[in-house]
Amino acid sequence: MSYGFLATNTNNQVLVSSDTRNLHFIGKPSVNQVRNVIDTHGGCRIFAYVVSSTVPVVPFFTMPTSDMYGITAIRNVGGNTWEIEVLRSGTSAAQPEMYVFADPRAVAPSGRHGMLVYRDDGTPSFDSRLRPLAISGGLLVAHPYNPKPVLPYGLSPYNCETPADAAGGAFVPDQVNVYSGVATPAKPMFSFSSVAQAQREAAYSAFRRECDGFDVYGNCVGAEREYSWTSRYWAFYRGGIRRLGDQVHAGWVTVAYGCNWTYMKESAFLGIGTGGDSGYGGTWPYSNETLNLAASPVIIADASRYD
Amino acid sequence: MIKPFEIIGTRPVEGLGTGVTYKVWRTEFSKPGHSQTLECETFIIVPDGENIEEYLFEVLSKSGWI
Amino acid sequence: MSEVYFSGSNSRTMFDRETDAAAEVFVGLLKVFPWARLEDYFSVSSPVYHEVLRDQVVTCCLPTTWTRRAIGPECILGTRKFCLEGATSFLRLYKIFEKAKPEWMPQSAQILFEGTNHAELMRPAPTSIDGFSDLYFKGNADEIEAAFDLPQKRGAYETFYGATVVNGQLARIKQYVYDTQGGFSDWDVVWMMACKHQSKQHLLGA
Repeated sequence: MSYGFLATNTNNQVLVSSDTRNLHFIGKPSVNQVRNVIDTHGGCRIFAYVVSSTVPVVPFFTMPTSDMYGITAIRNVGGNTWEIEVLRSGTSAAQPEMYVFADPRAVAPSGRHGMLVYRDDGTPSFDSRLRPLAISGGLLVAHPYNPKPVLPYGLSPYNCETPADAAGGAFVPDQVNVYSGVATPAKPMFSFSSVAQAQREAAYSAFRRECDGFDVYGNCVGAEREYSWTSRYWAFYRGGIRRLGDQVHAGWVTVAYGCNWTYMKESAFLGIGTGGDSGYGGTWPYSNETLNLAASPVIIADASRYD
Repeated sequence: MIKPFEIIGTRPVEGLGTGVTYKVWRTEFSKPGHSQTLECETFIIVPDGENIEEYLFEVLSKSGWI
Repeated sequence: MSEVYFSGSNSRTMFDRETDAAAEVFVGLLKVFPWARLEDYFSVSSPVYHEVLRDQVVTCCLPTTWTRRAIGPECILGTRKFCLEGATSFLRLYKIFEKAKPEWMPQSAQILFEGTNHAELMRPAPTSIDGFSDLYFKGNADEIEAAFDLPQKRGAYETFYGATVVNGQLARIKQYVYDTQGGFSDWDVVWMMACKHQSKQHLLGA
């Protein structure tokens, strides 16, 4: 190029260029709302944050606990208002800290000292007054196919009567992929979008035979009735990550669950209904499926630079 | 060969093995003349290299179904 | 409710699952077959020497709901037989007999059921189970006892018979004796009912 600015490192990688835009820190919003509270099935919380920006935002979150975390939404809710959702497993009150970045068009800087680089359209590409994003590391993670490989004997087939805390125990996701040797700064923050999804279900049926006559070698001579019940328990999961020392784990978070039941006598319906669920109704288009398992990036940076 | 479960369907799961949808059952008695069969239909992935029926048998034995 | 059968000098009693006798038998069974569960069966037999298997065998009757689920509605009864010394087991499945009566059967004999042997997945079975089956029949006691040189053993309520056939040849006859009506004593009623359920009414006129 004949005009503009270009700064590279010793590996000839671009640090600042008037042809690109660097991400800069634009704010640290607090939790605006806690949604999707689930206290069974391994627990779930979705924390919603609101930030103002004229351009799309890139959020980073801390992980204050060893639960699974992931970004589930970045959406413009009108004008310059953006809503960010972060998913967390578990039931604690801990909330991730949110650090939001965008290109320097997002906010008006203050101060008169520093370096400002413009693009050829006159908009800023880099502004040292806004604390540019410095990446300290990253990795690609993929999630295990099956959040819960084995479901136990014992969920009730009768009208979904196994309560959520017991059924939830059966569906708690327990599979992770482990990534070791991940170096992190003193106060790491992560950018990771929860893309992987999975659904698991199990139908428990009971077939009861009652003999009013007499039994001969298990065969009923006389009046015999057969009743059947079926309860289909299900859970829907989204992918998350957690950090344990120098390991990053890719695992699952239950974000919805439910149960549907039927009751029949001699193949005639006596009842149909749903059990206690998390508020989602209907039937899933996918049954025991896992989607979007391609490796996803995890970007790591030092949150203490932006406190 | 009599099996205590029924394999309903299988599908390949790339890089992992075979996804198997199956039914398993066991019978209980509440009192003479009153028997009840409990059945579960669900899904499992059998890793590459494992015999599907033997793997399923071992898993169902450990989980209390068989 | 129980049944007793006699085979030569051997005899076997079948006990309801809830009885102390059944529980006592099962304690011994569990030492050889730790995976067995008493609640899976509605009756348990005393151990008896099986002349063809040459082993002590305990017979446990499976509920028909299990058997029909695992095998199909044509199965009248299923039992699991545990061979104690060989630590093997197999299933015996009972279905309505529809073949030609063997020539060595007495004229009055009416064969009701045939019991065939089947191995189960992941459970070692005796090597000889494919070589024999059993035919369960009723008939005139005088004629049957004379034809097979059996002692006079007859129940006050009912008497039935079982023939173990090895490679087409008769190996032994079992005499099932019932002095009172009970849960095992009315094979002929079950047979008649099963013929109707399975649309085999043509057998009822035989």
